[in-house]
Amino acid sequence: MTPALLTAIPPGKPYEDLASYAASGGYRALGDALSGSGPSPAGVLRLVEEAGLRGRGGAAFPAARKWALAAAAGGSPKHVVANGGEHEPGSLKDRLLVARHPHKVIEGMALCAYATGASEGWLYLIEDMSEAVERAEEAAREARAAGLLGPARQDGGFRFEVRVVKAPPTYVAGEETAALEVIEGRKPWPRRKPPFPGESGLFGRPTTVNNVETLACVPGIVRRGPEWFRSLGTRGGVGTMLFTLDDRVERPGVHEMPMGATFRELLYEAGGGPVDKRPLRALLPATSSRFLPASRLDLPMTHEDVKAAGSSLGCGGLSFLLEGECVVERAAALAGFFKREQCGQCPACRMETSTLAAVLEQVRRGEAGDYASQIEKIVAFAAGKGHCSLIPMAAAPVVSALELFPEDFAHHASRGRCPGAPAPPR
Amino acid sequence: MPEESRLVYVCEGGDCSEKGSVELYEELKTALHERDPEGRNKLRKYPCFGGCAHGINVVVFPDRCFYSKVTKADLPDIVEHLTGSGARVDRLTGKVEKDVEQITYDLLTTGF
Repeated sequence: MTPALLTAIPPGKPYEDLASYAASGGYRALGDALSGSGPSPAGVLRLVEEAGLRGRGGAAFPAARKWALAAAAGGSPKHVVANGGEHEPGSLKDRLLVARHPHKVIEGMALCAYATGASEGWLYLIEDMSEAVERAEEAAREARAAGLLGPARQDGGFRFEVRVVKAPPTYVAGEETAALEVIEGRKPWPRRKPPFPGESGLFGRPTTVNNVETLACVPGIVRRGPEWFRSLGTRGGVGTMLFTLDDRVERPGVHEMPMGATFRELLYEAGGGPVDKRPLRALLPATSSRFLPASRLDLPMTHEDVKAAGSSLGCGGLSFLLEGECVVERAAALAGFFKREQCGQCPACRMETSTLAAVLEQVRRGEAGDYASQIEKIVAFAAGKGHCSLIPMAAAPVVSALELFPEDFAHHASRGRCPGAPAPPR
Repeated sequence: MPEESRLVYVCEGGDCSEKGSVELYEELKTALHERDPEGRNKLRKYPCFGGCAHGINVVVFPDRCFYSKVTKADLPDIVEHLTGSGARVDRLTGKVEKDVEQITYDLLTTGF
């Protein structure tokens, strides 16, 4: 597969700088837009819609629908936020993309601004992404020096400025409205929706918030056309997507795959398979998704197929469980993560994440009561509450772990150890 | 359920902790020990009831008694409820949302 995002870096350079990006056609789409020789703002929006581009941050929302909302909204100045607030265990793709290809993200932001009538851009990263932050700032300086970015023009012509913003290293900081709060100088607490950012976002103005990978897809779509983008996918998938594999596989790191490639192709062909050669037991497409049994290895990684199978691709940080590995330990670790990372704003979320973690810990130690009923009641109580989607995200891996592997839970609950683990000496 | 197995839960969730639930738990423990040396009331910590706006929350089970906005000044009356007259402290009840109260009793019934 020819990558669309993780293209070659010029020899001797740590990232795709302005000269090398421009040499491969970069900023041509923006240049045409600025000179009037390219598509109109509505034309750019139509291209993104025809490409079928969906968000790559986890929710997979159609990008053009977000853009259309902001384009139609009144109020000035409008904003574009490139969300690289990636703090999910097992996902490294945002930081890698910005560190290696910052101009793709910046041009995508500028094209989004052109289509929606925005003049202010915010490239939102986590403060511990030092390499990505440095490259983003350098790329913005390069683009500014080349006249591609700058402050709003007095004559009303299109002009777009980009600032790099650093967020605290918390999971919730990556939620789109939490990002708005951080940019406005407050703590990363998601806002209640509606209003949606497209109507009233940053400083109360129409704002388009897209993941950095989503925006990095846009220059190619505008320059080479929606059909080109759609053709990158396979088995009904559209475009490519970045997936992260951890160091439990032969070739860990970020892999760009056609949307619609199978889990097997990602894990065993691109990733070389688990270093530990034991058979696969389950897949976890992302930290906040539901476990899938190993029998779904040949499922195409499209949003539709994975949703129909009961899970979601999330932001593509794939992890897995091998034969002999206990799902209770993994579920308890995930529940502990969500307990630590919930922001503390919504009582139902506090309750769900705290009690799920406690129930899982009791199961792990063999001290649980009617844990299945407890998990069911907790999840039902919290469903539909809260300002963001952390409540269902925290429930997904725990509930699916119990549904798929009830025998692990039963063993742990009765003996206080993993199936297959030796009994402690008397 | 016999009175001997009455359980008293003090919330140790984030909001209640910020309001001093850890210290309140210790004071209640000391007071109960003085008035209830046989330990008919078992004091427990609870992860989070979800009644965060009304903390500090204290739940007595199986009495289905949900005390909210509890402060140290309320402890003598709560101890009297638990070890003396048995009368609830009405001024501390009825504050939390009904669904929060119900899920709490539902979970405690399952042994959580």
